[in-house]
Amino acid sequence: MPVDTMNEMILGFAVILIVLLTYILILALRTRKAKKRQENPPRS
Amino acid sequence: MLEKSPLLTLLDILSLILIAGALILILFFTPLERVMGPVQKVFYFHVASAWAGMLSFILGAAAGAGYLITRRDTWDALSLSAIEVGLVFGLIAILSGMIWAQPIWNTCWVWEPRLTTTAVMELIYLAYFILRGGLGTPEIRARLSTVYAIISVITVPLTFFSIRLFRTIHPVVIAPGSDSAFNMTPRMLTPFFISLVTFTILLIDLVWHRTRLAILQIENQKEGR
Repeated sequence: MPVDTMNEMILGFAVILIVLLTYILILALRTRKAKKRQENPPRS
Repeated sequence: MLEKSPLLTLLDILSLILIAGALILILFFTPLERVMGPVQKVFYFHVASAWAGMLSFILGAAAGAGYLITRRDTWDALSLSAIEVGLVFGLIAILSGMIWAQPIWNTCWVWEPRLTTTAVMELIYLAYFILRGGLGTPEIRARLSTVYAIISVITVPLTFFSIRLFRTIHPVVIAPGSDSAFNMTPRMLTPFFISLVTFTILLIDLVWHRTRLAILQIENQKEGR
């Protein structure tokens, strides 16, 4: 009879997906910021 | 302005479909491991992310060598991007491994060869960004950090072979004939290889996106923006 480790499985996949999604979101925001900077350079 | 290639859009869609497909396959169609139960299913993405991380670090070193030979910024951008993405995959492998280990080893961390070499590899690549941030001119920054990326790649084979060279409680995934090998049935092997392909494609997609950002940042810096 296998051990009941359903909660750990859910936690494992949740952590994997959260880390991936967070990185993708950060990447998208950084790209948007860099594009904006290229289109509207800050005045020095 | 750096235009987005249609191939990159295709890769985005493919990555999304593959991740969803692999997840459904793992959760609903793979057999339950008879001792560990459901948590063993984390294994498919755990190994795939460790694989993607190591592949990414090798790519970072290869691109670093490309920079040293050609002195073109694109190679430095690729090297930086591959290392950053590799760190994310490495973090996923460590965290998912800890969650898997908790109910199976009764502890989430043991200072045994595989876990130790993985932690050292992750820290060495984390230091790459500290080094980059501390260097002044773009040319010196690119040159020194690519040299660092090439030297650091030694941690990849060290981590990969640690379970084969030393006595460890970490299972060896592919080692035909070995007592410590993970004996996977064909119904486990298929999702395992699908996960490896999925994470490899996701790695290419993320590195491509990150390289576009790095090139954009280099252009902005050169033009004083």
